[in-house]
Amino acid sequence: MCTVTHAAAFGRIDSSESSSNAPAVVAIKPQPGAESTNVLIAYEDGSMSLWDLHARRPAATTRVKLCGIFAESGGGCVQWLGASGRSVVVAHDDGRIVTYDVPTVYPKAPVLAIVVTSQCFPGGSEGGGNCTMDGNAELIPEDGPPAFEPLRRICAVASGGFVSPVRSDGGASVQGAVLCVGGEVVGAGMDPARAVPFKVSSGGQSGLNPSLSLAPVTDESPMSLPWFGPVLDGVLITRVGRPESVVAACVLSEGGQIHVHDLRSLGCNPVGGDLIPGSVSIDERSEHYDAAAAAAVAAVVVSAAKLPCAEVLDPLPSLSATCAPACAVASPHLSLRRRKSSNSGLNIDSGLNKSHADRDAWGAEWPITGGHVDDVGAKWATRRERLRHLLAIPAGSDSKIRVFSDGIQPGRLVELCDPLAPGPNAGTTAADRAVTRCHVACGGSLLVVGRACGSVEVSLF
Amino acid sequence: MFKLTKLTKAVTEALNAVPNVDELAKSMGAMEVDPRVVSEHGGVHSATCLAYEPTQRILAVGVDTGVKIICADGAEALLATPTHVEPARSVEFIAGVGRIVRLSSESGIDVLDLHSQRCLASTRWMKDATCVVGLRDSPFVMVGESTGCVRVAAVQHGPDGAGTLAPRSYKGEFICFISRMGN
Repeated sequence: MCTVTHAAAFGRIDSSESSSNAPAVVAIKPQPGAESTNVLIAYEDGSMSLWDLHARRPAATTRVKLCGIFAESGGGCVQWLGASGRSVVVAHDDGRIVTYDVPTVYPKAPVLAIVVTSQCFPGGSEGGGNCTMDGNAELIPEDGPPAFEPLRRICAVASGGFVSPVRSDGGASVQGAVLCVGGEVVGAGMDPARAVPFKVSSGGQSGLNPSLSLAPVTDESPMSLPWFGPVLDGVLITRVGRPESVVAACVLSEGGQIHVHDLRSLGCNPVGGDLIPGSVSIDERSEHYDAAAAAAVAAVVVSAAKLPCAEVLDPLPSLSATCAPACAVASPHLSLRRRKSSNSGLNIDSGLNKSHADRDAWGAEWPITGGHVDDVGAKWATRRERLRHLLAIPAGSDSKIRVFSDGIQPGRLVELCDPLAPGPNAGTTAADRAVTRCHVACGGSLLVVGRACGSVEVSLF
Repeated sequence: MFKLTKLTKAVTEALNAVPNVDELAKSMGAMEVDPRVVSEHGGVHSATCLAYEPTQRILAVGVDTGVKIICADGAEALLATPTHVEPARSVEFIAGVGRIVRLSSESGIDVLDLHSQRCLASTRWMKDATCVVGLRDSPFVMVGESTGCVRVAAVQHGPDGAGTLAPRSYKGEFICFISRMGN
């Protein structure tokens, strides 16, 4: 049983006071709200303080010592939940995510307590039982220490505006999701990112302090996303103009792979929210509930879940391990006039068609590219128009030349044509066919290739 | 005969003489070459962290050479760090000012501007920095340390990569929070 002997101390720091006992700061999160002057500071041992920058004192602190927080997350293990500044979700190093209620701060009030409201283990069903805890009680796992890896990063999204996710009326449907990286069962071969939907329930408390429950809202939750390698980070992506509506998750895996996953069927999006007068709701608890509308929305949600998992970026063109000594050349102002006049002999995508097809299937829902070009994007787009490039590299042991361009699909380096085979005078051995020089002329319309045997080949695009 | 031998020897030495590259370079003067990254394509293997800005739909990827930006309509850019070529520990958007703050694994902090695609400030933090966050609509950042302290710093502009993060006093002194709990 932990007791608080010294809730918070503050003062001047000097070099001698760099106490080894002080836990490291692992996250600093400014409280949501344009007028808020508080920052939440989380420490490696799991304690937290809400610091009032103007009053220069802690406004609230945790009174219960839970488990620690992964120190190498760079602040990614602590997230405010929604825009109310009342709820915080924290990923602990024993594999559980815990929500805390941060009290409303009044001037000259005593240092208040940040209390635990709920917890769950996203990595498995062993700890998946939801529990709403008394904030002054210590959380003790029922079945002994959980065997989960530390949660390394989380990203949280909650519905509603400045009053969410804790609402004083307690009657509205407030939902959201937490994307977790890590927290898998110890010894598991894979560590897929998991999306944990949650909802707010008024629970046993009411008024200004209803409880937040991490109750699953769908049968399959938490949802493990497809795994493409050790997961490094992930973010939730919301709909444009609807920061509370989760549509996708972007997961970074080892090797620089960035995949976008469809999460519209996760069941974490607000379906009730703040109703427009005269509208219907598909929330059964609402007085405006409409079964037909609910069925229609359900059908849409199910169909929307079929979008493929697509990679954000094309892999960089790479050289074969057995290729001859390589050289590359780039040219600005690539002219692609022949592409429009004739497609004969041009293979736009060799090996990249699949990823492009997956991406194109998202259409306007694609959250990273293909969106509305804002001022910044337009500026870059204008700059991009002047920087079309041609990249030519030897393909491999057959001494062919692969030619890439970014002019066909702006921002994507795609293969312009079939690999160029050595000419009739290029010799027969690999040593003779080795590419020694590349040169691009006429704005990218001509590619001149020199080989070790002295032959020169000119290709026209 | 003697003269011919001497001339042959001089010609042979001249033909075999190794040109003095340094003197040749000095005689040519400084070349007006300004190599720089003008375009970025494809994934990078050193990506370690992500951040997403939902308003403009910008995805920031922390890489060892800086921050890779994937913007609307397929635009890509690399905001390069001038000195901290190390794995990125975190990247964060700073709301209201169009900036990104990047923390490297070796406590290097870079503040990068989205509009100009330049590095506004770059500093190797004096102590082990564990997290960094930018304050909304302000030039200030807060840096968390492994010693349990939080310090405030301000972005001082400079030429590309020459700006610094200057530690600021908070009411005349740095702030330090220490929460101790015992049994």
